[in-house]
Formats: sequence, structure tokens, C-alpha cells
Amino acid sequence: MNLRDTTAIAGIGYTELSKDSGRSTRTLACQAIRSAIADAGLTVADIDGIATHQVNDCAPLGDVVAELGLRNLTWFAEELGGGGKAPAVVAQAALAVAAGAARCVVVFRALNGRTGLRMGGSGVDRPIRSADLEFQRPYGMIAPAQNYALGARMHMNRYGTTAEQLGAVAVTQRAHAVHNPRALMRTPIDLDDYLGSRWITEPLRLLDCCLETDGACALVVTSADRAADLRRPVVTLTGWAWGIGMNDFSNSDADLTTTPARLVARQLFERTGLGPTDIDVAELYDAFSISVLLQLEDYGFCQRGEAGPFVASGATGLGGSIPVNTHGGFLSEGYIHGLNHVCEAVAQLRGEAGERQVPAARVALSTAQPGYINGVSSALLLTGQP
Amino acid sequence: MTSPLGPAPGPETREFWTAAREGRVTAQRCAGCGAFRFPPGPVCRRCGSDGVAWVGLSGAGKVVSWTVTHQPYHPDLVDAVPYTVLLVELAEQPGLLMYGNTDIPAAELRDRLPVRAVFRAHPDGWTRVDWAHAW
Repeated sequence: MNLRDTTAIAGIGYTELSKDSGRSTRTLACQAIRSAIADAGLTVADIDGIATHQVNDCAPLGDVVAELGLRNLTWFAEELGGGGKAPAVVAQAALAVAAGAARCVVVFRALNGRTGLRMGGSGVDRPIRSADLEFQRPYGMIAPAQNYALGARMHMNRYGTTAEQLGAVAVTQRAHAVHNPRALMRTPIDLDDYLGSRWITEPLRLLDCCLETDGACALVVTSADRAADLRRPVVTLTGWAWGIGMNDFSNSDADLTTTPARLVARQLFERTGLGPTDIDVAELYDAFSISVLLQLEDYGFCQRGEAGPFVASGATGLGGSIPVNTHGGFLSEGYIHGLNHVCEAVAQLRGEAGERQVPAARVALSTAQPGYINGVSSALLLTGQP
Repeated sequence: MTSPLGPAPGPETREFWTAAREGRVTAQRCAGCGAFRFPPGPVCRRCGSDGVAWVGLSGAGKVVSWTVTHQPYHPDLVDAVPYTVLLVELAEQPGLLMYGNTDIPAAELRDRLPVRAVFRAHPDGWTRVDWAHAW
């Protein structure tokens, strides 16, 4: 069954992004969902499906459904999981629509990532405990940043990647966020600011790390035919893919310079017949700057080992060959766990991204990556109207 | 009282921590194909056998990556930072990895640096496998 471009994202919605929402995740979820429904030109009564993912850091799905008064539900999904999941959940919604299980599905992610459950932390409080953790935690190896730091160091050792090249990711994305009114961090930075920011876990500095964020976003998935009758320009779901890597120990060539995004990319490009050169804008999961470098290689935007010079050349900036994280990403817009990347891709394909708009953007990639390099990953390819 | 960061051995992992307390580095070895596996697991990823034995390792390895952590991610680590975590590839098998701490200064760390296991008893009663220069 060829589902290419048969489903669409018809609406997107956000709450304000902040360091202290002063609201429950239930309230954040409802606000973002109402905003997405209104954006699509629909009403709550039109919604018959709902999907989310969370890590015990959001009100239960049932609470959100009750608060919204969704009385016509025929389908739902509530996934346990974090960074790798947002595109996967959107794709599940698309599958539900394509299979006739629902006609209009809202997908949301709400979290108080600063004032509620903070990612990383002791590992004891970590909502999902990998078996590996027993042999990491006793050594103080408990936060995703440390895992990605090992990957960054390996990339530096193997390919000569430099601190300045990691810094180019942060500087480039901040330059994008300057043009994004929703972004938490909009003051431009340069490489000196980057190099002067404090160590978190070497070789990663503060400005290599995502922003702990309170907020929510949501989107509406429906059929492409129905979307064509709604108020916004149609953005279709062209393809999706899932992939899971081996765990942190057993990636059998001891290689943390590649990720399960390589598995996802292969599926995505085989299924759609598209490739990296067909993509106009890429919203790449950026819990840490190094994650962007690894994905640029895994998705084939540059050769292995060359992502550092590639980013330093300006290729991922607005006006570059493949603009990346046009909203500023997790590093500068905020961290809504990946769904904000999907929403930005939709805004770009509608031509509604204002001063950060990529001219004539037609095909967008939106990705998700695990909190630990070898975990769950997924991605979407989206297409706008010419 | 046990630190929340300390080992919490379960039925499949107790052997490793008990051996470490006795100054031995151990891993599981597949009874079917002889492949080592660590962390311990229910089945061999290489041949599918569930037959397994715990065996002693040489304690020799090479550094494949490292990080010096400055951020105290847990209240119990406030006095420990900065500390170094190594990822070590063990001599017995390519891709057989262990994490551990080290006192080797960061300036001396490099890819493929030879290291050897050392044993560090903690106040919580458990012994960690750490790493030192191989010489």
C-alpha cells in the first residue's frame, strides 16, 4: 500500500515557551491542542483521534481528553518514550488516518522540562531505565550529555573535528532564532561566546546543550483530501521511518560517530525515492550540537567525518545549501522534545516562517534522536505545495 | 545507607559486582560460540545461544573515548566534579566495552591509550572497576 502524500498536517499550535510556565502540563497540552485545531479551521468536535508521547512528565492522556471534551474519539495512542519518538507518533497518526481508524488526529507533546521533571538527573529518577545504566551510573555516567560527549570526542579523535566546528552549530542556530519570536534565546552569539561558555561535560559546553523548557505544541493530522478543503496550505506526509540502534555497550564496532539515523535514512529514502539533495530544509533533533553533526552525515548531507567543516562553511545556515534548524532548534528555540521541529517544518513548507523562511521550500526533513546515541530514532519527510 | 548512584545488582548482574569486590573483572561468555558479552544479557547476540558462563577477563583494554564531567548531575556528585569517565574497549574482543572512572589526567588521554583495570572500594560497600595507565 503506497501511502505517500495521502495524509497531511492541517494545523499546528503552540503555547508560549518559557522557563516557568506556571501551568500544569494538562493546561499546556489543552492550549496547544486548541491552537492547532483552530489553525486548521476545525473544531473540537471534528477531532476523533489523539496521540502523544511522554516520559511520565505529562498529565495522562485521559485527563487531556476529558479537559478538552473530546467525545468523538475512535483512536488514541500514548507512547512511552522521549527524544526518538515525535515523528514516530505523527506517523502513527497518519497510519491511523490512512487505515480509517480516525479522520482527524491531534498529536501533542507537553512538558514542564524546567520546572517539572528535568531530563538527565540522577538516572534513578529517570523514567525509563535501560539495563545498561547499572554499569554506567556507578561511574557518574548518568546524563545524555555525557553519552553524546563520548560521541563528540570520538568524532574529534577520528576526523579532526574541532571545538569551533561544534560551536558553529550553536552560532548558526542562534542566528536563526533571532528571527523567531517564539524562541527562548534570541541574542546573537559568536564563537568567542561559545568558547567562553562553561564546560558541562567535555568536549560539550553549555552552548552545546538544549534548553530546559516549559511548553507544549500540537498538530492535526488528517487525509490529504480533507486538508485540501481546510484553511491552511496543504503539507503532506511523504514518508516516515523508524529505527532502533543497539545499546550503549553493544554497538559492536565501538562506534559512537554514527547513530540509528543511518537506519532511518536508508528506509526513508528507499520508500520515497527521495534523497538528501531533494530536501530544502532539515529540522534535525539537536539535544546537543554534536547530534546535528552526526545526523548530517547519517542522512547523507555530507560525507562521513566532514560535518564539522560542512557546518563551519555556512552550509546549514539560512541561504546555505541545506538550512538546518531554522527555528533555532532545541539549542535556541526551546525543547519540546521534537514536535516543535515538526511544527517548524510545516511552517516552512507553508511559507509562513517570516524572516527565517527558506525561499521556495518544498520538501522538509524532521528527525528525532535518542537521548543516548544508540536508541530509538524516527523521521518524517514532508512536502508542501509548489 | 546505599547511594542511589551505587550498583543495584539484580539476579543477572550480581556476579559482576561480587567478583569486582574480590578484585576480578568478569563478563559473560557464550557457551555456544565463545563470544564475550557485557553487560550481561539473556541470549547471545551472535549465535542465539542462551548457554552462558561467567569468566575472568585480563583487565586490559584501550581507551576509545572519554569525557570530563563538570556538571554535578546528582547531589551526590557535587563534591566529585570534575571527574573523568572512560569508555574502554576490552582486550578480549572488539566492541566489548566497559565504562569506568580514572585518575589519568585529561591531557594524557588519547584514542587507543592502553589501560588496565584497578579496583576501588566505595563507602557504599561496592567496588567499582576503574582504569589506570597500563604500564
